[in-house]
Amino acid sequence: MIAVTGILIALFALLGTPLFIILAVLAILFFSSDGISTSVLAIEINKLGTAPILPSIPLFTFAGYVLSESRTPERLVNLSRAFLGWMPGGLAVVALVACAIFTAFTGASGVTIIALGGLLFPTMQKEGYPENFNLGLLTTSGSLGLLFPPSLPIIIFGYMAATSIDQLFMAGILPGMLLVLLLSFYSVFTGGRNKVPRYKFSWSGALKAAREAQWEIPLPIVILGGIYGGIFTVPEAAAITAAYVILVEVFIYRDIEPRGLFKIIRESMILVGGILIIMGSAMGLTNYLVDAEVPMQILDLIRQYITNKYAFLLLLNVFLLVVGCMMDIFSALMVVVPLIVPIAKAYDVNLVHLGIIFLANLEMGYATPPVGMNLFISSFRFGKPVLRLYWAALPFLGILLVALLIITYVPALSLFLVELFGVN
Amino acid sequence: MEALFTIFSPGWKFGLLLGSIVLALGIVRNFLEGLSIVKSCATFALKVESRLLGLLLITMIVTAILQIILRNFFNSGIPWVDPLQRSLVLWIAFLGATMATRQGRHVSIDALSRFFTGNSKLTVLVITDLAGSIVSIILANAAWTFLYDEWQYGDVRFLGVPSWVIAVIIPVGFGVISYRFFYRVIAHLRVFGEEEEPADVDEVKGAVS
Repeated sequence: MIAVTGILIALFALLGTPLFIILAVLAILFFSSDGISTSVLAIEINKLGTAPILPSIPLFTFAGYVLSESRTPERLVNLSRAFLGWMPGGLAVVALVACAIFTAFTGASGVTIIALGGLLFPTMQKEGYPENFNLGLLTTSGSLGLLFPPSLPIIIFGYMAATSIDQLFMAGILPGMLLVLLLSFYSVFTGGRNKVPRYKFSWSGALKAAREAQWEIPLPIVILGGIYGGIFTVPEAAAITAAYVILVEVFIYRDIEPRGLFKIIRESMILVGGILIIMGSAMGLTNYLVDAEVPMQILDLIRQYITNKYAFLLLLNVFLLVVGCMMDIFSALMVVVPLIVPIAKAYDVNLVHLGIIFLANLEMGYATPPVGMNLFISSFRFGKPVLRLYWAALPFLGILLVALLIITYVPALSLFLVELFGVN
Repeated sequence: MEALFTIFSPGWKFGLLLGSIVLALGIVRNFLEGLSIVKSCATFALKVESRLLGLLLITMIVTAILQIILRNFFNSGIPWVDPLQRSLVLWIAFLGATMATRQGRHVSIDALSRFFTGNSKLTVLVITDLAGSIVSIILANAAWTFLYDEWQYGDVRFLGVPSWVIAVIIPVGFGVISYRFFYRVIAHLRVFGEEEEPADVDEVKGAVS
């Protein structure tokens, strides 16, 4: 009976039933089988209205949507190009850096591929980069940068794992740079081999691009400086970002009409509502599972085979890659984090490091065949068959895998800055 | 409120009642689909929801900035800003989620549904949306019980606003979500058998941009 129910629910999930419904059904079944009132689920959902960190989710998401609806992507590409275009494979490196920055500010909702892909893809084609390289690069870059602050997935991990978000923000910087750096080496190499044109660096060009983007350049500095300077908290930083992008994009650049803001608010809050309602039902479900000591049972099971921390981390990597290609990053974080955290603690894994491992895995999962979401977004955006994108993404996934192993087995990479600056 | 809870006392009977209301509303709505007054009501509802979302988000931004200015420059602060902000999150979450339901834009795993087309795709949509509708009713019912408890405790969140007033959005939200899932079920069934690819079954046609 239990097996049949389980299979049925899994089938419904795979057929595309909204995830919050699936999680709620599981929670309802578990609670009622123990004779507990289902109103417990509502208590958990009500907690969405009491958590200090959560206001940052709608605010950052809104700000990200404003940025992607304005001409920021264009200015960002121009700016990166003026500063990095001189390298061999310069345009590819520009694409990586621009995508990473853009993703950090917009979350990883696939908007990077839509907003930047359309600008970068035709130019890369024209400059003579191989088509598969361009497709692979833009597909994997669609989630590149979610290790950089103020990325939404970091905030969600911090909330679900009850870990310091300030520390996580700091911890993501070096591993995020490692990902960009390794992919850049590959880009420089490919650029050199295909003899793409190179541009000379010019101070006047760089100055012009910087002047065009002069109102957007201060944004990261204000956010990070404000948070680490102790001037404001993460949710306050989110409010400032939201107000600042309205000021800049609507009133200074005039890229967006004031009336257009309502549509942007609506679109972004649909995404936020979708995420938060999953968070609510996921908290109900994991509340039951944690009470029923399910993580401890999993731990006992794993302990029979794995006693070593490093072997556990490898298992975790494999598991998260599978999860990452099945679910989007937000759902994956909300469902899996509360279950893994107690197990990781038992293996003596630092929770901040665990967060970076999680995010790096899920970032890669986005572009992992057969069902990584970026593959489908790219297929839609560039009008190429998904199978073609599987091939195109492979070399990039190989590189990301190397980076992932380094991130997993060199905790210092994540923790160095946190300890250096003594972030709490 | 007392009267409301006495008439609709929390429990499974209330859930059944709620379910029947959703069922009836969905069916009635289906028969009145062509009427222009129904259409303008739906458009009006969309507008109200949109504006309300905008108002809530802008309140959030403005109060947060006020708070930062007060703290950093005047060494003071408003005590109700933080609880207000948190409560706004709950309301935004449910308004956003009801809109996501309307447009069929909830996050799902969606590994198999890509491989269906035409009528088989419609069948899948009918099944999944119906499941959504039923489960949402159960959730609305659970939230009603929770609301009753909150009302009895009588906690105050901020500025004299009791917690249960904030939490009202949970049963109401799930009720609306359930109705919208059910509306979609009927909308899918209406186009069943037609050649065209199922696309926009939004209550307000063309609202999906």
